[in-house]
Amino acid sequence: MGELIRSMDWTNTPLGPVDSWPQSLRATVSLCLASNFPISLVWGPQHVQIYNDGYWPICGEKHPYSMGQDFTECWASAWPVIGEAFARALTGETSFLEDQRIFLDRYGYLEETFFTFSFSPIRDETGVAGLFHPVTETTSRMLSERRTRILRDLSSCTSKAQTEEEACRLAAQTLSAYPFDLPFVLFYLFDEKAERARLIAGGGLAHDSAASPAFLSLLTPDPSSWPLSDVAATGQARYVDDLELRFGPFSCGDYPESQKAALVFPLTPPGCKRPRGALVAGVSTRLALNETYRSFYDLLAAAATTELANARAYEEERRRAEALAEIDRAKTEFFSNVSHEFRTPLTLMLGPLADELAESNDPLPAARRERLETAHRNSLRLLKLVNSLLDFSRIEAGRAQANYEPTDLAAYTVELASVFRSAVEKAGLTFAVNCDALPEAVYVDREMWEKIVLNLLSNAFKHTFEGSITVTLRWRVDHVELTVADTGVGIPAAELPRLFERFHRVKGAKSRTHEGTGIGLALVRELVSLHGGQVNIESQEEKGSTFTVTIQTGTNHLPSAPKRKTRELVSTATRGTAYAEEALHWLPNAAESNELPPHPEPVNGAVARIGGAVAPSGASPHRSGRQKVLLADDNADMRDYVRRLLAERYEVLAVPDGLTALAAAREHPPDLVLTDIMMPGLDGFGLLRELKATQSTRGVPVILLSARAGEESAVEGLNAGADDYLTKPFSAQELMARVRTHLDIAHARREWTNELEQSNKQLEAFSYSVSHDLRAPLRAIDGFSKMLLDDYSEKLDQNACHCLQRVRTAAQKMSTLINDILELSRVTRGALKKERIDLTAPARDVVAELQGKDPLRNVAVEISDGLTVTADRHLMTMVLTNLLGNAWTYTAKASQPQIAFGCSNHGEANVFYVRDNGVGFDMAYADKLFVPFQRLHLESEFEGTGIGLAIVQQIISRHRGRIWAESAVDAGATFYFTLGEFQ
Amino acid sequence: MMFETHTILLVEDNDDDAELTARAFNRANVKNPLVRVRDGQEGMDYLFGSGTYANRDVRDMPAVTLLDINMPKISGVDVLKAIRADERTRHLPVVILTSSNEDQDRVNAYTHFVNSYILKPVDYDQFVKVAAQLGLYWMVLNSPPPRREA
Repeated sequence: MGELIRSMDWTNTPLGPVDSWPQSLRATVSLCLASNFPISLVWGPQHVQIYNDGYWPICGEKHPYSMGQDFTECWASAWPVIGEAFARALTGETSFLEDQRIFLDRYGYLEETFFTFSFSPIRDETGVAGLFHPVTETTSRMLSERRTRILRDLSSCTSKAQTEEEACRLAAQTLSAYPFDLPFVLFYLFDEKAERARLIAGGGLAHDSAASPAFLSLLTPDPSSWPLSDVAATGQARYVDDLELRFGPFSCGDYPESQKAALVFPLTPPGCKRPRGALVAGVSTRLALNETYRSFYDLLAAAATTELANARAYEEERRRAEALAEIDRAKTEFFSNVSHEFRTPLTLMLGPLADELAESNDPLPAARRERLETAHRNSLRLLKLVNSLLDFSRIEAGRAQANYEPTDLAAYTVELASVFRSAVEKAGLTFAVNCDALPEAVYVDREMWEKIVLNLLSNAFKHTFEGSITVTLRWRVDHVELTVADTGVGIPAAELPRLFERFHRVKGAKSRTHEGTGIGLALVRELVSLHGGQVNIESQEEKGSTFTVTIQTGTNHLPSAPKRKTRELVSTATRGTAYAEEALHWLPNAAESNELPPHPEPVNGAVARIGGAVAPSGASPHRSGRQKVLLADDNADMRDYVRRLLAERYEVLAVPDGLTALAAAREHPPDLVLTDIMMPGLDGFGLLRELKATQSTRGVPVILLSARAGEESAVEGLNAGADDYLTKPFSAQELMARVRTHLDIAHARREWTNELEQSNKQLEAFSYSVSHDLRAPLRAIDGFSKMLLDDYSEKLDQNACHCLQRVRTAAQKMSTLINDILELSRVTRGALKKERIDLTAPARDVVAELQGKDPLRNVAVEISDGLTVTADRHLMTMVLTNLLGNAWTYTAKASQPQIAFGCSNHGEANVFYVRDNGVGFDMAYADKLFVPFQRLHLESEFEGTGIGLAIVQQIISRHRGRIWAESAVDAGATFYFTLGEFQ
Repeated sequence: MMFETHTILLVEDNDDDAELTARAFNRANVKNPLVRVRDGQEGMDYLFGSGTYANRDVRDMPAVTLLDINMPKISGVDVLKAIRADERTRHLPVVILTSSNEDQDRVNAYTHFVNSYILKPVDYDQFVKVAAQLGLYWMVLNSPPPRREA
């Protein structure tokens, strides 16, 4: 460089020939040249630039011209950053600046660079003769740091993405924060057939601009757009450097230069053969696409691909989980439907069978009775199985809700066990029940406990042929322990682990019967675990088995839900009899036995009860003539069965579907409707809805019949307005009782309604007579006073005339009062005729009328346009008449009266207001405003009956709206109202 | 023989109201003869020539019949029904003149083809104005149905 300096002809420069340079300059130049560190000197008033070898790469293509050039001219493009430091140095102050972003035009374009540099003044005897300017270029370090940050941000932000699209959006959002490296980015995803690319997200460009089309075909290459079809087909990245040619000039971010180049990367997640999408990334116009920049893009594309793959994996995982959940729902639904399908025929089997067996007038011969008993027993058994299955589906669906009640568990367990005594003893076994009283109540769901005990007993009985069965209940302070021990065949050790699995049956086990589904013990385990307990088994082959159930005492283990809940409407409990009857039948001599085990409690099981004859109660129907029951069921057998039951007391019309039922009910409203839920055409819910929507049938009680033993169905039915819900199979007594109850309730309700209607009629009659009879005497008072005044005025003195005038005024006033009271009573009855109305027009009419009555008043009235509401036109006009009338009245004394009617929107509700600048009122009396006859001003001051606002309030509240007022004395009043849910 | 019907029949049970109505017509310069009967039965007797009016020539029908609604025994609407049901009086102009502004009364009156339904104002000055217009309209402007000669 020394050579260059020496070889240059400095004669024509402001410094003059080298020989003439002052000593200070020479010394500094030689110091500068001796350094390897990039240094530049700026000398003299013309800021001549002299630099060393280390500095010239900074000059780029400016070198060698830049040698000896005016520093301010050479680095003009950097001036915004360095100008101030330069100027300060000239005044003698050293400046040091670090990692400054400077846009240099050293290679024919503005380039984004970073520098750390200082300017130090070089003094001679005249002051600052030049500047010492050491420089370090930090561009590559700064860019590298920034790009590392971009990649880090990208991976941290998109790790939250749950779908591919979301990953694209998050990535685009993150990347658009870095326009210096990525002036624009576009994320495209390809459709499944790779026919079309869709723009998911972008940054730096508007959505769906020329350079960011929302959709691109992947089938035909489009030379005037991104080469996505090429990228999709080859899976290779493409460099596009003719953006102006493709899209016309466009710029991004802070740089005015038109974008020139971009890279298009395929996004091909691992495991995918073809790209799922593409990333288009703009190349900065102020950075050279060198190796590091290019490798940054490669890393970027790789990171984006990874994020996409992660999101895709997440999405697939979720879809899988959803599919599984769907299968699970379908299964539950299936169980529920199966229960429906089974229960209907079961009811129809059990009902008639029980009726037949209970027939005492004409008993069957023993042989035929036996056959029927077999059928009956097996029906019960089938019902028990269906119920067990349903219990499972409920537990699995998480819908089994235990109803924990404090229970005397010892007494209850003894009671349950006693069901089996007869069968066990008949089999020649010893039955021991050791349940000493427990010190405190245990929280269990009684139905569930019953199933636990009975299933264990049933299991023991099935596998025990000699010896004993022992039921023991022990208090263990923090838990109770139920053991059911038998001396039966025992269970091979190898089978023990799978014993509680559903449908698992011990192969080849000796037992009283081959019947069984293998769900009894599985159900026991589920029920015990719902109680937060455990069930264990110890068994030895040929010695016997002992099942131990432990349940915690106290309440701490229970869910935080209330300890007592209303009982589920629908019970799947079959009660002990079904178990015991089944067990009895396993005994060899069962055929001869007609004996039923003793009932542990008053029989109220859904099925057992059906055995009782339908009690034709002696109670006579409420009214003369039999009450009418409309029965809708598509199952002919069910229809006949229910009809037979009801026909003893009621007149029954049985129809096969909802539409027929609806037509019949509309023609002759029945006293009660019994309807199946699942019916062709109009189902039970639909029928219920239609009945409740029809005026004439609205009050008719509806009982739904369903075979779906699920509490949701019951809740759904009751929510839909059903009066009751019966689950098949139901007993005859249960059906009769519910029908009777609802007929009674409906009867009472009808009487009550009649009373109400009666008193309403009386009220109407009263106001009618007020309307007629009070006016006539008033008219007479007024009329005759007037005649006196007219015809006898000469004979009356002034005082008498004055008195008569007051009589007339009072009569007229009374008349207004009567009208207002009648109006008030009228607005509270009669139907609302709701329609869309614009309040603006009636408000203008009201004001015109007020003006007409009072032509001398000059009131500035402002009524907003388009005050549309859904309301009763007549009543709303009355509201406006009163509110605007009040405003008109109370502004009488204002110097510049103003009234405004408009609407403001507060959140969801439109709030209408009538505002005046009249006398106002004291807010302390605001609560009296809407009370009839309450006035806040003297009548002599402002006329009125004090009923107007009461009428307004009635009307507003009939529209389910609200009215209130704000005011201050002499500061005007504003009445606000809303119109409730119609808006 | 041409015979101009120009009588006003007033069916009104309240003496005060009857007198006020008469005076109002008088004051409004409606000078037509006013026949006042005290209830619905008497009104029908007058129109159909029965009872105390057995000797009346029923071809001589009033130009307009003013009916109160709320009367003992036979209400104004019942009288109206009877008028509309009888061949002889089917076309007779009938005006309900009443204190009642109840929807139910108006509906009943129009259902039975009343010609007009007028509210009696309590304010006597107003009442006089109403009487004047009533007289002008029914006595002067309105052409009655042709007289029956049967």
